[in-house]
Amino acid sequence: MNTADYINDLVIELRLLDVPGNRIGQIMTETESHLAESKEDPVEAFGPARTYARELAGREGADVGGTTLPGRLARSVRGRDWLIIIGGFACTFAGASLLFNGVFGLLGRSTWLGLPAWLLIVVGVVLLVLFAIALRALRDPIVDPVTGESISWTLKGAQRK
Amino acid sequence: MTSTPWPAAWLKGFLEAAVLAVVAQGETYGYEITGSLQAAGFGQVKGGTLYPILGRLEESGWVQSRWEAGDGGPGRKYYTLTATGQAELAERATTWHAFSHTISHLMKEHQR
Repeated sequence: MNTADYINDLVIELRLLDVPGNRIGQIMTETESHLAESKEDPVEAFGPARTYARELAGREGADVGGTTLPGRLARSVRGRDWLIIIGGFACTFAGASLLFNGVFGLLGRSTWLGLPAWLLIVVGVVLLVLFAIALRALRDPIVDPVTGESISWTLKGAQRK
Repeated sequence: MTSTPWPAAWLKGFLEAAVLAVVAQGETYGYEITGSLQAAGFGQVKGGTLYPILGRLEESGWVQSRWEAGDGGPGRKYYTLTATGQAELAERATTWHAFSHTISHLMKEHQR
């Protein structure tokens, strides 16, 4: 297995175990750096990514459920995440409804409870913006310990600048 | 851990103290520590064994670290011993000395 593939597996496992993004960045860099110098096979040097991630997370016996990736992803979703999903749905639905109601009000249709159209538009936009801000704030980016910049990471792997 | 004359359980039990002692020799980083341990007769210590130990030592406040950009490669994490780490190492060295003395005394007659 090559280093990049191993690091990607390791990051997925650490994410599933709720390890904070800045700690994941440190582990990534530490592991890459070691492998770059030792020229060892990653599994040979660190063991299977899942086992190593659990040891690092201090949760050796941890099982985030299931054996397939989608199943394990679903099981790792925490209460906080459900709150964001449900709260976010309610927030965007209410925001968009108020916004549209306000816009149609400007076009001469009767508004909700007879409220002024501009008020509905403002409240609608605020709700949508609040949700966008909350989403950004709740992101936990993987941070490069050397540069302090976040590493863009998707299931396809890391994109270091 | 391979090719050393020592039983694996002993190496496992003393690895943490050995890592502490290696860091005490001066600022160093992960891969260099594996080299020092090998030179000290600990055999080849795997990264998967070493880094969790370094993590625990740092959590305990016995070592501290700083990051530095690597030449071309990813960054390196350098470790140094803290004052409490120094005290911990001294404590372990003293205890070990007393313990090894006790065991040596007990086994003295059976030595070949």
